[in-house]
Amino acid sequence: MSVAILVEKKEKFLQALEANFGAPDLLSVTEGLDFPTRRAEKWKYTRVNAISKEAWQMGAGVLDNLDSYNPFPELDAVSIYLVNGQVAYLSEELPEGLTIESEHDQEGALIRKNIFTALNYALNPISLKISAAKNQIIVKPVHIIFVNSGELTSAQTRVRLVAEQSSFLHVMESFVSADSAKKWVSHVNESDVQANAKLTISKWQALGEKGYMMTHEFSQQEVDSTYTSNVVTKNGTWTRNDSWSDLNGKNGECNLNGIYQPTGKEHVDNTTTVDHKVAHCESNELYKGVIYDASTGVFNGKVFVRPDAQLTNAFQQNSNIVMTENGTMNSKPELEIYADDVKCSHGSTTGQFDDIALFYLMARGIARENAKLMLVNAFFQEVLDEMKVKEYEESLIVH
Amino acid sequence: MISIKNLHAEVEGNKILKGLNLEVKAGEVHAIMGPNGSGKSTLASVLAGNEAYEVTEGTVDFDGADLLDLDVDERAKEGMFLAFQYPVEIPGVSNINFLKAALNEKRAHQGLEPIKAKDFLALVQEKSELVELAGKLKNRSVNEGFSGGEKKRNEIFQMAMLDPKFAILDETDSGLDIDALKVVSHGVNSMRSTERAFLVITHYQRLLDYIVPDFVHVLYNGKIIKTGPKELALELEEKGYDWLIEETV
Repeated sequence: MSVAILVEKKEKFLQALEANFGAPDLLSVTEGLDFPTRRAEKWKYTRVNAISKEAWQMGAGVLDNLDSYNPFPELDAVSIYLVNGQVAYLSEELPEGLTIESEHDQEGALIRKNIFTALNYALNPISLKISAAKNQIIVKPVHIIFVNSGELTSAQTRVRLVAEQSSFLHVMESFVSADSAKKWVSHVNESDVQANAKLTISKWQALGEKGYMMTHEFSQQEVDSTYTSNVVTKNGTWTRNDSWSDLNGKNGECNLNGIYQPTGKEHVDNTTTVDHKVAHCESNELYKGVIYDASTGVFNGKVFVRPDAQLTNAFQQNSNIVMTENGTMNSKPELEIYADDVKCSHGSTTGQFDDIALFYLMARGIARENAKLMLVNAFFQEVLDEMKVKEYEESLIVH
Repeated sequence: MISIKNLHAEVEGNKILKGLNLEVKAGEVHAIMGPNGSGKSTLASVLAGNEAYEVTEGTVDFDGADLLDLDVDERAKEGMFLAFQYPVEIPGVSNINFLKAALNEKRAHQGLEPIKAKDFLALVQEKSELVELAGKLKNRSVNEGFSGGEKKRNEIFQMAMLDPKFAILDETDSGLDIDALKVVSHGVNSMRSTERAFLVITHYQRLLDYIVPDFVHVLYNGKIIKTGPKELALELEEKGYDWLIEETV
């Protein structure tokens, strides 16, 4: 595509958004930012054309029977419902030390900007800000259910998390669809994990048919802190999860876990960047996928170990099973190390289903489908053990 | 129990079984011996239903059922058991949970209710003692990190749990030390009954001192070339296979 056509395409896309969202001058907001093409290293295997060609609109912020969209109704949590990106329900009683507020914010907070994050701020200037106060252990998870509905609607949502010193907070985000209309959800998390705090974000992605889901996760970690990100891509036509984790203080621990199981022609892309800026930090990445039918999986993992980041432990693992000849997995784990006293490893395995194990289980009398399920469960169990989210385990592991 | 007629099978285009006939009745123990590459393990795999092997000719009647028409799990549900020569390690699948699933699928097939948790535990206790399988092994992932002897004992433990009517032991003795061999043999012998039959595939006569067969067959070049009483195994141990092969040719 020529530059002129690209520019024209972007303008058309932005004009529709300006009109439909009543947004300000999006051309200047996105100045110098373009749609990624496959020439960009991190976008080599994922196209945004299905998003950039549409005229998206804002969906209505109300919906009946909100409870029915909760994928984990048994979960004892502080619940928040957003419908098409707008807050529709919020638990009134909050545990001590937990604050939930809507905040008008500026994109200045965003360190790494691209066309989609810039638009996220421009189209929705209000963030949901969830904070755990100093020394507060918030035992109940906060569960945000993002319900999306309507043809060609786009929800641009943003959740900012602050775990103050020595606090503990677990935020679960579930993305679901109320219908099978084509929709685009663009979600941003910005997390500030202060000294000695533990913050976990767990995402459940189930936008289903014609669901286009894009997430950006940015985390900043101070000394002695732990940040854990869990992502389960249950279903959805197109999913791209970008995460950027900065380890800025010594003795920080960053854990990134992912599970995906695309079927049909679904596409799932997990692209991660972990930046070890200081010494004595640890990062662990474990992503596992089972690729069914003619679906596609992508894993781009990058770990930077900066010159000052001596005694870093960085581990990165991506394992995949491709179930059919038509399935595709593109996996690219990468380490960029500038310090000399570090322990780093990365690995990627992509293989077929283990027919010998299948035969063994069946030879004991277990029917083919059950045996396959057993092996897939076993494959995911290692990640589920890391995630420690009972609801995900119960939903994924079918006995 | 099982009646194999004119069985031909190949793997990746190589013809391995070339017209094998064998009749095993309930209560009998048959040993199959033969030099390397004669088709012993192929026979075990074909009977259990391994799809890597293609049956090109012949029939197998299993208590009135057309065995070759059954899927792998259906054969097991009908009472067939294969103790693997190389038991497979399956990380993440618990030995016990998988056995419970297998047992309950078989029970469902027989029109029985799932086994009660208490009864299952008692059964596990009883059968694991039979092969002296340590408690920690039962609860681990299937065969993961097991020693060679532990894997073979686990096979016999599974056999005892599933209570098959026809069991094939594929070189269960290979690589075992004498203590493990005694334990495994004890497990098998305690299961001998008038309703059950065994097909013991082995390379070494030594096993047959412990599991005494009713018949010994010699498999060579995809066919059974000699059948005799248990003494045949001793003769083979002493004289090797060449004299038999020459006799056949």
